[in-house]
Amino acid sequence: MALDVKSRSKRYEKLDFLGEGQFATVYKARDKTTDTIVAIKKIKVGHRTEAKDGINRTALREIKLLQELHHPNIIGLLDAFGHKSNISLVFDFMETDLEDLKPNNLLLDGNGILKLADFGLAKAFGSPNRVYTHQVVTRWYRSPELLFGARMYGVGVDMWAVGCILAELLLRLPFLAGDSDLDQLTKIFEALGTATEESWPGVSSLPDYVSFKIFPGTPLEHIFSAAGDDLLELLQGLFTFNPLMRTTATQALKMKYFSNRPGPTPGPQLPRPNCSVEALREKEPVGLKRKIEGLDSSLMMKKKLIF
Amino acid sequence: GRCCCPQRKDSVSPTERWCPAWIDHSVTGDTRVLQHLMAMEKTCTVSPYFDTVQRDIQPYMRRILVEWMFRVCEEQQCEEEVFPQAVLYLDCYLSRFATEMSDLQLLGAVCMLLASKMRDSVHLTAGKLSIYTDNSVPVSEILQWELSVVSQLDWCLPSVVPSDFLEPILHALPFFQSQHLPNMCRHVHSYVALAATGEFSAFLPSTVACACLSVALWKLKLADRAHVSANKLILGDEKKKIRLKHTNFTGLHKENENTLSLSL
Repeated sequence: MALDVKSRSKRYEKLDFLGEGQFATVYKARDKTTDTIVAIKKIKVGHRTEAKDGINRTALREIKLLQELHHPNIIGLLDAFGHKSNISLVFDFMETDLEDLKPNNLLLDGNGILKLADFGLAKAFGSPNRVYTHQVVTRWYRSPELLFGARMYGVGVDMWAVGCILAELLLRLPFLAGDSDLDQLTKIFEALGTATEESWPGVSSLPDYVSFKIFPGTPLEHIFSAAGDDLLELLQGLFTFNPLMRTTATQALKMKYFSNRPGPTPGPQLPRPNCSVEALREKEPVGLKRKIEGLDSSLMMKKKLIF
Repeated sequence: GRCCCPQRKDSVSPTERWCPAWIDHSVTGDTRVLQHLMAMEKTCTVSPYFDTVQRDIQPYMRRILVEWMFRVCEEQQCEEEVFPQAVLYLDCYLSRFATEMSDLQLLGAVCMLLASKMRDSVHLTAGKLSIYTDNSVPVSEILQWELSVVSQLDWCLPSVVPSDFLEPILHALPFFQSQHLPNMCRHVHSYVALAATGEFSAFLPSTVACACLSVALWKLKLADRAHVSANKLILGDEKKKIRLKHTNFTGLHKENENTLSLSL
């Protein structure tokens, strides 16, 4: 991929402003070489602190993952170019608006094909189990283990988010819309019943664990009164507190909900959006301070190397 | 099961401390992970570059640089993978682009910045790295080079380091017991760091991983030599056998042991 932003950006003619989030601005543009419409996501180097740190790390991860991924349900990265600390990513243009699994990052193209977008925090399947920051995933879609501060987590966090998205599709508004981490947990436990050592062994040893009032929870069939038994069974599996017991994607796909009638509407027959593109919703900041900042005098390995 | 490597996080700060959690069996227990890692490691290979690509840079200079990088990562308590990852970026870059001696420390700093961004929860800053060069490399140069190095490496940053193979391989070893995992991790991370310091960059990460693992298994007396000294480490049962073949396993093994005994 080219380095020079001038020659590269000349290839694209900016047509329209599509939206702006905390980390990126998105434009509609025409690729003059191929005469196609694309979306250009320009990663912001907004804050001075960020500019000081160079390339946005989520951009680094997103670019490589998208380069490797070729799947009909994942948005295609066409090009990437950068100048100084600015990185621009060129994507297929989608009719709906443009890091994690939440409805804003689920796009539909003109043929009604679903595309996942924003892989800023995605890890290649096969990246080993690691200590991660727990400040991932927009709060409303965050699983209880993340809210309790677990630093090592697995695919379960995505399945929890899938459950929240499914619930939101049924309710047509966010299912668990907490305004703080504590409030988020309260909302979860009010709805599903408080997690206990019995339902989730090990929960009380998570780093940010606090004990909650015992809520009995509401049966899912009362919350999602329009959902059939097969769908409730799926939701129940996805909203399992213990991440080790939570339904995995493979298990979910084998559940009755996905084979029972009626089948899904073919993409091209889906109703088209009549409104213009909605502004990008802001994302959660992912930020922790560097461990030992400002202890310059104590840095033992401070030296200019002479070869 | 609890996961590995609890030691170093305790010393950081209460909010940043390591906390025990489960091993994600849907990841470590899935053979696709090993296959994926083995496919990925071939995308960022290093070929010998002294006297070919590099005119200015000599092996001893790389050694000085890499030792400095190791100390910086250690002092900053980076994740164990940051150092080998940074060295991999360095070797990838040097095997492709002629570099001036005067830019070598700058390149090393940039590789650490990138590796830390990919592997640490809280990454090193350009400012800190500039201080570590005793301010001989300005922040502006680090940032300028960062984009250039990333582009030259073709954005190939989430590449594989040997310790990435640790858990999936151990998971597939029928005789391995999980209570030995923390100890194993500690050993293997040290051997991997040693291998990165030495002249092992031409070997695939899986090869280095197997060599380091077999040395660790043997040193910790968790397996007898019959299990590990063959030309290949055979994992899992016969049905889903994955063979990590290496042409020069025995040689690498020996070299690794020699490097170890020299350094200890």
